[in-house]
Amino acid sequence: MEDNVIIRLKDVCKKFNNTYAVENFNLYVNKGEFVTFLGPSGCGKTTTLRMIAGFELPTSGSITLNGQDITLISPHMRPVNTVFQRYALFQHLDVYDNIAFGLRLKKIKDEKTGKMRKLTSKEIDEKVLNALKIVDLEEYEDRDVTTLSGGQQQRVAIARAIVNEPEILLLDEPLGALDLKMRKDMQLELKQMHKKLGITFIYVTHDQEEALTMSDIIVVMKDGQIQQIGTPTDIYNEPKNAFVADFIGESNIYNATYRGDKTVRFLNHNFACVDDQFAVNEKVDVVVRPEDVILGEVGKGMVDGKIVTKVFKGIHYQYVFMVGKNEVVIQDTRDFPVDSNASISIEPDMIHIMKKELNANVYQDAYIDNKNRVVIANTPFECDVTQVLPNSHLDDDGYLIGPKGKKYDLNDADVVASINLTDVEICENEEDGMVPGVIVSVIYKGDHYQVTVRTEDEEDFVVETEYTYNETDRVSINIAKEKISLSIKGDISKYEI
Amino acid sequence: MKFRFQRKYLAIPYILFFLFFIITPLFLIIYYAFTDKATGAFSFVNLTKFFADKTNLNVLAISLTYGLINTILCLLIGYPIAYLLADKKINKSAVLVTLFIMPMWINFVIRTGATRDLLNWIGLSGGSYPELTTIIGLVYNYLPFTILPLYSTMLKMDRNQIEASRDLGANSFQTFVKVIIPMTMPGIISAATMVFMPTISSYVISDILSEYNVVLFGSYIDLYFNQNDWHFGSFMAFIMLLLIGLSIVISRKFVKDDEGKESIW
Repeated sequence: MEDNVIIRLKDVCKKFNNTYAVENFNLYVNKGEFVTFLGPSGCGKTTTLRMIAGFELPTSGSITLNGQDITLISPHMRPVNTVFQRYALFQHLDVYDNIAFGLRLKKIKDEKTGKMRKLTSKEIDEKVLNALKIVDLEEYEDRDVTTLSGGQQQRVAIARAIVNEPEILLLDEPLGALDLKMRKDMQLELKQMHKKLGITFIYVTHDQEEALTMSDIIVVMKDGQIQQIGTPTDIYNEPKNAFVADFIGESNIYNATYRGDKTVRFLNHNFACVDDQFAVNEKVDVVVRPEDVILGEVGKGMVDGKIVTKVFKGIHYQYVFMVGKNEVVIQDTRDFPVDSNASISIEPDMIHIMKKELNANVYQDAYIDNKNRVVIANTPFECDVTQVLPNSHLDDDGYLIGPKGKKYDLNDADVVASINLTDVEICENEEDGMVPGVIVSVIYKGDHYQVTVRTEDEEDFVVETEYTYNETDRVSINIAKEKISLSIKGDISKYEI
Repeated sequence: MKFRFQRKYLAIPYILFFLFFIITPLFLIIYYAFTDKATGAFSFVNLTKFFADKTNLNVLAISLTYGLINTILCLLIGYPIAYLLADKKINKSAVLVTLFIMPMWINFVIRTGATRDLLNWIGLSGGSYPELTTIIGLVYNYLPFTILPLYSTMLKMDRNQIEASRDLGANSFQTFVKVIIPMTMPGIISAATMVFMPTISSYVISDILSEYNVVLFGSYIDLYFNQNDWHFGSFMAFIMLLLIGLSIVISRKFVKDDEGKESIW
């Protein structure tokens, strides 16, 4: 197992101007695998690739190739080659010379004399022509690279890299500049090339479909951190968190409550599910793929609702189905009339439940009342509204005055309020706090407890505290004025008076 | 009939400019070059006179040598400067670029006079070291004209190609020779054209700094014009014109066809 590992990245971090582009990256890749780094732009996938190529040096951590530490080795000494995003072909050389570039610099051990020598022009010729054959560009060797189409330039770039027989081929969004049809063809060709050559491929893309089609292993990244490592099927069927689920394929993601006994409540319905590793009444994220929702006649499924839009997508229809205020995206090959009532059902094993990742209590539905208080869970909390606009202050009438003297009336303004887990205070007595609630879960987290207090309005306050409470205890919540951070939803200009 | 403005009338000032300041002087040079001073009739007398006297050819050869040395020195000094200025990691503001270009904006006679005084002050007088002072003056004057075209080419340079070269196994030196130099060739060519021919025709720098010990082709032409020999002077100006044409044709050979249309900068 260990012998099969070709490259290993250990605790690799890269900082640019004090922000982490890549943080604690740990990964090993087996020989001959096709590994894809997948994530939105700015997630650190290209930076990681560049560290493997040697164009960037890690701030900390190590990279080992075949057991040898290459963290600080110069790019020209590494047995890896890169296919660049914008091809980076040498404009002053023709196709042949581009491909021969690396071979002409290479020194090999002569079989007879045992000395290091350069490749003969005959050897170079053979390799270049073979590489051209692999990328399907025979008889293009004398062409000027500037006269080639994007797809052909891409092929030259691939040939230029693979002709050196690298241990690892790095591909940095190589198909990004091609049109859709060409991209699809190249995906399959690259996959076949990978099989034929047996070289380890590390591929960077932001296109989830590309990643699913081509890879053996996908590494999903976000904000410089690995979110999930797994095979395409794993990643698609068992996403680890809401980000992965959302990024890979289309999905319906809901806030749900685990009701215990393999039932989970969302869309105002208790669904049977297969997961059971959650606490009773734990708030969870639920993912359902559009193709896993079954449409049916009204009253015959699990949840009734209304089809509001319908788009023909070729092999299936895409519907948007409303259950109360919740949207369900459905892909179904059958034809249902739009604006009609219908029902949906979801099989238990199609409901994927994920742990909620909580950093702070965030309330998307908060608003400001006429006394400049923020209303969360139907309860007004004192807060500092001037933080929604820098350099602003309140006048005597309670209007917000902006830095340029503009006047805003924040009454009824929609805001997002967030409170850190450690900034919520629990009062033993129901009457002492601002809002009463019941403790629905207490999780011990090593050195503190994570306590969830649910109000009558079904809002949850998650509190990190060193004191323990009992579930079903009735308590109340206090939040200090300066601990509530607010941001206005949309543009503040709409509240200008 | 009513006058109607048409867009093509906007070209009239340019056509007039073209006629009076480009076509007419060109024909005047050719006319004077191939007419006899005494009779005003068509003749090759200037041509025979030019090639019969060794001094003329000597001046031309010396001028070409100065042009060549100046071009090479300017490129050697200007190239690394332009490279560093164009590297956004090293040079984060345009101020440094402006400072390097600034000598261009100072009146060139004043600048050259100041150079002479400065060189005198450190003991390099035009009387004792005419060649050296001339070269110093030429390099100082033409360096900005080298840096500017090199700098703009390097700004547009595809840095991915440098990485690709490193990736394919070339060390820094090999990358420089095999990738960076070819990539910046258009800049090198325009820098060389900006320096080589103007050096040959320049005369103020050599006159002031060498105290008239170094005579370049430009001052030679000036000499005849001052003696009212417009015919022989024009013939030498015609020779210069041919040389410039030749140097442009040669330099085009170095740059790829599709880039030939690019501006001199």
